[in-house]
Amino acid sequence: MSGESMVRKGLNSTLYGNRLTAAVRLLLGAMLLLSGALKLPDPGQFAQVIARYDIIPPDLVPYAAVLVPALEALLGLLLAVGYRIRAAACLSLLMMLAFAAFITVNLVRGRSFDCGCFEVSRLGIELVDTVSVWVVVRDLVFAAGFALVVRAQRHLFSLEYLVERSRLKNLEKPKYE
Amino acid sequence: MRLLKDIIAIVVAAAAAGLAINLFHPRGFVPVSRQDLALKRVVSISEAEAKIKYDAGMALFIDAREKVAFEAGHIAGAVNIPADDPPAGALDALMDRPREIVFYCDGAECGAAAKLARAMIGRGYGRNLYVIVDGFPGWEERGYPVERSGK
Repeated sequence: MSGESMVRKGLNSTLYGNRLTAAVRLLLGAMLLLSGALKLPDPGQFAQVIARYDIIPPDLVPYAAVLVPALEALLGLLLAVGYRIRAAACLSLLMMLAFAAFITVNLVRGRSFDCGCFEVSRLGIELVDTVSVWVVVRDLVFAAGFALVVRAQRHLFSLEYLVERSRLKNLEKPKYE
Repeated sequence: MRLLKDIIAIVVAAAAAGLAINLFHPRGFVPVSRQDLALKRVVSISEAEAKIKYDAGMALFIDAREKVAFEAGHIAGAVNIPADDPPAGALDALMDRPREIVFYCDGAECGAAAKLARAMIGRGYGRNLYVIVDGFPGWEERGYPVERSGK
């Protein structure tokens, strides 16, 4: 088998859903779950982060501060567990694109502040995460990961996969003997 | 169609969870709390961050302590506006300053600096205000520039 066709085969298998796809899903899910869970304990602080972006009207900021961390955590949980994967990945994809767009707008405005992407300082980790092209690229890479998960047909190591497999197995058994 | 249904279900569930958490959170939002957000414009900073503003010459330092404490020692170049008894017009004079304003008092517990900052926001000051968390003791401890004006 030539090298090119092996690459193509690997790519197709990843697009269909192999272990790599599952790893991407689990990693991204864990990341969302972590970043959502870290923001949940302090909606006030996250509201300040949102307010810094100056995009959402001030009156709506508290609602966003309440919704976004819960949504992140829930999406992360769904992706990691593997339930309603496609919907969760779709939403995550939209969210990442929105984050990237928000940061881009502020970059174009020529502003510089901590992006507040992960509140890891709560864990005692000092991470300076200033808005920059790199953060946009990172969000787009995450978005590509979510797009892969949306496109995939099969999700190994997921609840959906387990349920489907056991259903198919039981189909083969005759109902009455 | 099922995808759309799932997406809506997820958003609704997240909103419900978020609102529930907010409801029981000790520092949760009261729905539509413009006042609350206005107060959030008072930003707490460390001495080190204050020093950066100090070195850049971009900030006006306001000492919110009593006159006696101010004279015994204050951040070099700071202006004294006691929070308990601000001189008439002192805060109004700050309103249209182009510089950032940093308040401080005797540390995290004193509250005088935050009180002045809130008074500024109450007057319609539109930009962020800064409060040095550890106040003057923290500043002095780090060996940053201090000035004495007492006898």
